[in-house]
Amino acid sequence: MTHLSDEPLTLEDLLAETADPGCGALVVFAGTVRDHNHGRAVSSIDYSAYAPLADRTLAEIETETVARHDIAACRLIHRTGALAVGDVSVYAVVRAAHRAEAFDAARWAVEALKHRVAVWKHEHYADGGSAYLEGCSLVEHAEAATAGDGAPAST
Amino acid sequence: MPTNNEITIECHGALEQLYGSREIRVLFGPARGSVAALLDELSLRTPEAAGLLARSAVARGDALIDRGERLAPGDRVALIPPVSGG
Repeated sequence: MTHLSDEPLTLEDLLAETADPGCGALVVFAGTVRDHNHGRAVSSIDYSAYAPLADRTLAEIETETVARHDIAACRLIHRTGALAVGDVSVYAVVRAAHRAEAFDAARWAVEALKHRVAVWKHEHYADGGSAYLEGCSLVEHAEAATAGDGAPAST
Repeated sequence: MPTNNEITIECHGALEQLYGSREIRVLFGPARGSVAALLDELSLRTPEAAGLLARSAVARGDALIDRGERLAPGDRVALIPPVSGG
């Protein structure tokens, strides 16, 4: 299954992969490029990834999301490359029998993605400047993985 | 091509910008050994990156490795600064 793409993301494949007649709830979250951040006008964002780790982590989050919630399926895909304002950077698709579990699981999966996946945003601003965004350190995750504990409990 | 005593390091995110390259190589003999030693070496060479290196994880292949992991000449590792996906 694809977890990273340098092409514009489409929802159709994710919906087909997760189709389940036993599910009455489908939650789709799309992250899109916003035109402002911390008071600065954003013109575009370059997304880069360390693909071997990012792909594995996205797959692990999908599995963990299903294990932790009463849902049938979770799929995540993240975009890389140069994105314009309004472009979709990430999709999370969750299917469950009922809506409450689907909403909870989708939120958990997206939060885990933001805290754990080896992807970086390089924002470009309308004033000509640019900056990498300060993010979440994975140092504790490395220690937990080596100790066999999996991801730190905070995520 | 890396020599026998070199480690190849992939730089990502802001570290790529700081080092001016996606990939760097350092001489790193077996006596120095660990991920922590490699990060110390990089911090000494590039003090402006020291703060970010302290908050960066290190990966080999598709797995994170901790500060105590031993490295061998010829290894290829990736520096993973704080992530900001989504």
